[in-house]
Amino acid sequence: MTHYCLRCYRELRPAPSHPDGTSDGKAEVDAACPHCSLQYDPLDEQTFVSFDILSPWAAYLLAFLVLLFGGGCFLVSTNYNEGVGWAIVLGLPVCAGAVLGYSSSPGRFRAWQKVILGIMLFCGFVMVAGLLGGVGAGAFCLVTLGIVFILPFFFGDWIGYVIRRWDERKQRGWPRRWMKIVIFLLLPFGLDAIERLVPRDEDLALVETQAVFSASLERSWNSIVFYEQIEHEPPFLLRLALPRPVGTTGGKAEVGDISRCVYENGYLVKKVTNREEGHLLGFRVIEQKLHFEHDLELREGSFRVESGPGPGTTLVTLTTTYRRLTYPAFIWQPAETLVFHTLHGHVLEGMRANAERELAVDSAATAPEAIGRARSLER
Amino acid sequence: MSKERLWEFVSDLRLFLTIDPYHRRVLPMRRPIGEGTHLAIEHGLLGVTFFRFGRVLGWNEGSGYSFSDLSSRGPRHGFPHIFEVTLESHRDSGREFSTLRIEVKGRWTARPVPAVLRSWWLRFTCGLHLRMLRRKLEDLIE
Repeated sequence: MTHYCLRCYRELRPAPSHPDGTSDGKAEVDAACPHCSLQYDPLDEQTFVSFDILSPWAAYLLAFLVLLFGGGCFLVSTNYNEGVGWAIVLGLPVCAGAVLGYSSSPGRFRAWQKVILGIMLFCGFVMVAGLLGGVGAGAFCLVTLGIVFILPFFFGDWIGYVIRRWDERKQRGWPRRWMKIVIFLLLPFGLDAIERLVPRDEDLALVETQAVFSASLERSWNSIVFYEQIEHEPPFLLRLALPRPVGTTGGKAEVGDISRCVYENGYLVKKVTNREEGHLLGFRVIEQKLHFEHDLELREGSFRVESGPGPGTTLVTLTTTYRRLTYPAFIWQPAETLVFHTLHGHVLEGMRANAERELAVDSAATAPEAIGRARSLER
Repeated sequence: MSKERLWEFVSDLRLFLTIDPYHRRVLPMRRPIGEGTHLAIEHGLLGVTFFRFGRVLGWNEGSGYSFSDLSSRGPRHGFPHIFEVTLESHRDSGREFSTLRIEVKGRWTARPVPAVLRSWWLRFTCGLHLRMLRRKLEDLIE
């Protein structure tokens, strides 16, 4: 069995022994850690720690159990359709990491730390490659999810290892250690159950994106109401991982009209709920099929048209209200906001192009000064 | 109590040094204990246990010893201090008395802690240590 130093947790070299199997008494007296020089007594097991790590088969079994429990926890949570919560996003990776850390020896722990850091670097590389347009949507989503999970996993690994070190110093036997591993495995379920007991209010969030059109109020309004087809190139994030809007069918002329926004792999059905001619077009989402129904539920939206900052310009504000289904909000909200701003920006860009194109062919309508491309004021 | 008997009690580091408010376990890392022997001292505070390390700096058989108690992060961190344990004997009216003297010298490294709190903490610790020792020695005499 390998012995480790009580101070630096590095491997202690065994004392040289005689060919007949007896050890050198002097060597025992002089035994010290080769890394930090702390003495130890090879005959007194309190002066060093011996991590009797799991056999490879037990480790594989444990890894299988972690995956089984983790997957089960994830499925239970998502099947209840109450979204991903703290237990899944933080509890599960922390506990899975704790099992790994707890079942590791100091050497194995350091090796895993290197592996985890390697994965983090790889994720960073894939993210950069993604931003440069070199990877597909699946890889991008996987890496984003990986980054969310890997830091808690890293933390859990460290916590598990610290607890194991504690137990080694106290020289606790395997029955108690197995008990801790079982606790780590069951903890995400417990946390999930507790999370469900706590009543959660309907969490509505709002994202608003503004754009300035170099067109009159009337033209801008018409470009919104009669908007049908998106022709321009979508931004990078839409090309990569998000549903790409294609166009709109149906009417928006009166309150109660139903329109259908078509996406490349889904659609939204919207009903006009509020219409103030030339100023406000509000709608409610009555059907959503965009393949992220587990993440958020679109509720309502509106286009607000006002005078712009310069003469002959119009400020258009697109607002979307949605119900958040994934928690913790501080992790997912930046991604949600980015997604909505990207979608809004793409739609507004198409409308702006339509409004300004009409302006270019209509000599009667003149803008005193052109202010250039649409400016997105993200909130 | 005779000096010899007191030394017998004091020289058992595993037992004597744990009569302390924070020392939970003391492990001499080599036998026999003498000058240069490393010590691993398990400390406990508010339910948290951790090891500090030191070494026996001086060992005068029958008269006393001194040892260091340093943080595992190094000698400049976490209140490095040394203990000096000295035994003296006196004779008065034919009876033998022994004096046990424990001196602790250290460097306070937690600078943000106000001086008032620091001196209160040290007085509290020394007072508690004294009470624990007195109780143990009284048990020993009985």
